[in-house]
Amino acid sequence: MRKLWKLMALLFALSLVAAACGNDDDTSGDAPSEPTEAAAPATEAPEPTEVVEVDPTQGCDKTYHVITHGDSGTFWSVVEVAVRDAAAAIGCEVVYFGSNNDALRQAQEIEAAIAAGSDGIAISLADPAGVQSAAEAVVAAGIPLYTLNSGVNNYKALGATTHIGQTETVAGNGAGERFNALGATHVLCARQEQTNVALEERCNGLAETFNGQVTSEFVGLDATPDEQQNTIAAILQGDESIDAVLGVGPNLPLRALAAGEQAGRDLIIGGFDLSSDLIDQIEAGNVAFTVDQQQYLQGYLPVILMHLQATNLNTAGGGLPILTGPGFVDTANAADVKALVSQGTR
Amino acid sequence: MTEATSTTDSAASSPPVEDERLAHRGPVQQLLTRPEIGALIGAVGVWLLFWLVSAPFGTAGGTANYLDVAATLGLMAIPVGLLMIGGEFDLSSGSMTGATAVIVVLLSSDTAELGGAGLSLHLAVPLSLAFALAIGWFNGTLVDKTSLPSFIVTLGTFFILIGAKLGFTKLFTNKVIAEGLDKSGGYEFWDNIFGARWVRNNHVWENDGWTNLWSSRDWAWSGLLIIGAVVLILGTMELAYARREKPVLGGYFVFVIGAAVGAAGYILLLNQDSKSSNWIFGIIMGAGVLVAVAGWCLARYQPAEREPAPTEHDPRVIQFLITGVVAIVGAILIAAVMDSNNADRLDFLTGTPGRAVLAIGIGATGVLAVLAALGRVSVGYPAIGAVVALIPGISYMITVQGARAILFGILAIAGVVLLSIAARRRGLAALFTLLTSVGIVILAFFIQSEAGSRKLRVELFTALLLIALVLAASAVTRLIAARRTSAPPPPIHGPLARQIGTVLGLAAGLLSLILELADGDGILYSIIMAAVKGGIVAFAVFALATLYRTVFTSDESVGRSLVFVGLGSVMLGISARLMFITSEELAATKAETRFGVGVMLFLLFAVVGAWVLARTQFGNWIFAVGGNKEASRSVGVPAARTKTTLFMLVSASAWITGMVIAFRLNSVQANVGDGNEFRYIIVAVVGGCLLTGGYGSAIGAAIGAVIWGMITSGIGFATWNSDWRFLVLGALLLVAVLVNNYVRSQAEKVR
Repeated sequence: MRKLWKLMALLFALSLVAAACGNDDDTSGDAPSEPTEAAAPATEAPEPTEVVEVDPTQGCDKTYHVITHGDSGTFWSVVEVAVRDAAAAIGCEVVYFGSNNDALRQAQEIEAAIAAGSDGIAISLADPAGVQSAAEAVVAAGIPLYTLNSGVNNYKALGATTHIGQTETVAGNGAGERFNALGATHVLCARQEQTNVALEERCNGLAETFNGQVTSEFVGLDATPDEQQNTIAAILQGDESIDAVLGVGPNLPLRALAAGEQAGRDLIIGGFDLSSDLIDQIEAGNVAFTVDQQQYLQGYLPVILMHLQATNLNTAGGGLPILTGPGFVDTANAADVKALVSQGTR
Repeated sequence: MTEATSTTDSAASSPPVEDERLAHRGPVQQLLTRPEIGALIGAVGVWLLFWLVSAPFGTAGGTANYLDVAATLGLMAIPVGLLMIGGEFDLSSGSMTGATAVIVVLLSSDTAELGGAGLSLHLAVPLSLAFALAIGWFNGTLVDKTSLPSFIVTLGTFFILIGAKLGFTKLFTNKVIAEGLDKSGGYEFWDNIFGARWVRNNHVWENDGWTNLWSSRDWAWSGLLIIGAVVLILGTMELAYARREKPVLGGYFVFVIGAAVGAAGYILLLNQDSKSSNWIFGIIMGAGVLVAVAGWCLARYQPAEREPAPTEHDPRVIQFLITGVVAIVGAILIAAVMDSNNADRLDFLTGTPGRAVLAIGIGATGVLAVLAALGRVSVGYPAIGAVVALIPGISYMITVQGARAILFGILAIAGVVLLSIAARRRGLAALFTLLTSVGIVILAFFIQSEAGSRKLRVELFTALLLIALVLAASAVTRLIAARRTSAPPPPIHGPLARQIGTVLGLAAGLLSLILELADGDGILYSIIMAAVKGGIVAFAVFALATLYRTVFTSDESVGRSLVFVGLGSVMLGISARLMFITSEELAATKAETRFGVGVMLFLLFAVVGAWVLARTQFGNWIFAVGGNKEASRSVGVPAARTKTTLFMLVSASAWITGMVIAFRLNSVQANVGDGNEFRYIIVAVVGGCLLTGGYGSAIGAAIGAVIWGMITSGIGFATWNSDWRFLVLGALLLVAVLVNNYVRSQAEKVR
């Protein structure tokens, strides 16, 4: 009986670890790497995040809704600030709602917005199937529909005017061009997860535009930072030709920096997303750049575009998505961005 | 491994023939029944593999790299292993490492800028330790009071810790990373403790060559290594063979002459590098060593009776013999084409042929599985199909050099093993061992003449020659001397020597501590270095005492002391090589090799853990409560206290690991350490701890951690494709456990 329990314990531990590994996405970065998985389930009971009412200041009679799957983390708080800023700019009422990864709540809120007679609705498509019927109802009601952040593959089918976001491949392309300009010849694309499509796309995008050789390797989870550093150092020592590292998250560039020191190599280091430590290192000139998807634009632009469509019948995008990235933070703008980060708009 | 027999015997079970408690077991057999034997063999194999396929793996920098990975794993795996021996699990151990780190950063970082509590680290660090101990106590008490399985209880703390880490980090900083440890009050002081490290590049030990041996690093370390190996062999002989009543002095004379000739041959071999002279000096060295061994045997041990003639003809001997010879010939051929400069990706069975092999493999697996289910073929056969299906994967996974090294290793080892099996069945072990050593010599010279890289041509050549020499020497001994038939008397470790050693060691340690502190090095670092230096002094006293006992007394228990001294000086030699750099090497490298405080603590934990298990009352309690809690309680073991102490030990280690991580990274992501508890358990199991409790080893858990470190780093060093990392890891871990199981059951069967 005792042994049976122990066996079950092991199985349980296995499934547990699988669950824990799965969770890595949720906490994989300051600004989460994959927007669709940005919202981490917090410890408290999942309750809908607050509804932000922005008071009209210029007698505008339009009301717009931005309804996302976002949570209250840093990434989405920047989007929320952007929505509020855009509302102030046009002087209309804009309602922001983040469903904390709950597609059902998101769909209900979209239907409520239709019923309230919204003049424009912007949604994120983290779970396209979950909100599909609600989104179709928006179009059927003749309300302009925009998608933001995630949904670049589905916005057209749903009848949205355009999509405002970033594609991972294009972000990787941008990083590749940066490395070309910096004179790198062999880039190690270091991944912190082994089977994350978004991270793979970043590395593939890098390989598309980079002129030299690209080696894409998994170097250990964010949960084991010492392993990441030592694995990168080992790869550097195993292949003498590597002269640059792209870490596809905010932590890996820092690990690559330490690994380069360990292996006695002068590296050109690039990263993804922002964190205070990373910006400090960029400012110090130790990390060349980091790719920023500029989520502020993903909150600001849909509001402005919906307002223009409602008041001036403009349709932006021309059937193509509007890309908010890749933006870059490097030595030139690190100090400014640092200030903006604490201000909550980067 | 001086504690070889003390505690594990109770776990071993075999039908008593006469009275198995009194039956003599030779030193090798004792080693083979140790729980960590599989891990040890696995570690040696993995090291050899990566050493063959990658140039930087075997260097000091490579060693520092994988030891660093092993350290943060092993610091936890050792206490987790002890807890498993005590019959419990702690699933919260992984997230606890991150939790202590997060707590320290959150408590200490600046309120205004980074959202922390702004406490001084002098307060924050002890508070996090108190927190860890409280959780450990909570786990232990709850497990004891409720009699619930520990994985349920610790599963609760596991989830609570994960949730609390994320929740509080986001609450305070609005981010998933807690940052800014270096801006906290008292950072310098605590960084000196947990961020301290030994930077090899700052410790130059010149090579002054012949003129000044002591100030020459290479002479010092290789001398220690050789002396250690010799003492180790002497100790093993002492344990295995029966003593004469009175030593024969003429034998000593022969020994001295042989040893002198052997040493001269070795020195000449080192100083010459032409093929013809290598042959000559190699033969001189080998002959000298064999004469020395024979002389030593004549002097000290009773002459052997003749080996019993084989009683019956076993037809399978021929099979083993032929297969073994074929395997060694195959290894020679592969050695001939081996060259570490060739790092091209393997390119066979890719594309259509690969898919065909994959299809055949899968099909065969299916058919064989059906046949096995019907009882037509053995259950093992479907595995063959699965292996065939995996073959195309190898070409994606590794380089040409890697494939050759793997094949070479497998064939060489298989050849030697098969030959020795044939030898045992034929009852002519000594003769066959001699033949095997001849085979290894041929292998060595083939590599020497054909291989392109210096590492294979010189280092592998020398290593193989030495292995052949040891084999031949053991064969000679077996022919000359009679084995022990009764258990050796209990060891008497020379109490006077031990007292003197302790006093001198303490004095040296204290002196070093004062000097280091005066130099302004870190506190923990200074303490560790002082302990190391004191330990070396005490070890030297013990070694001298052992030498005295070996030569001037007829104390039969000296064998164990010799083994201990031999192992110790081998380790000292390796450490000297790893920790000091010559100015020549310094000029040639840009890389900085560091051994963090974590690595030192890891090694310390391994030694202390082994000592506690083997030599203390608490160690016996751990085995007792893990074997049977109620029975142990009824004979007076404080079961509840023992288990709670173990849980608290695990949390305290998690605190140390968390501090090492926090002071290295300066910022801690909320999920650091999550999921690692699984790794700790795996590593402990690889090291020989049973999931059911009551059996295991601390050294084994440490070796398991080193295996894990070597594999994760080694794949990087060898530039293998990391997509296959877990496949390699899984396969090697499985092999380690299977070898462990097999070797132990075989060794116990022989008894």
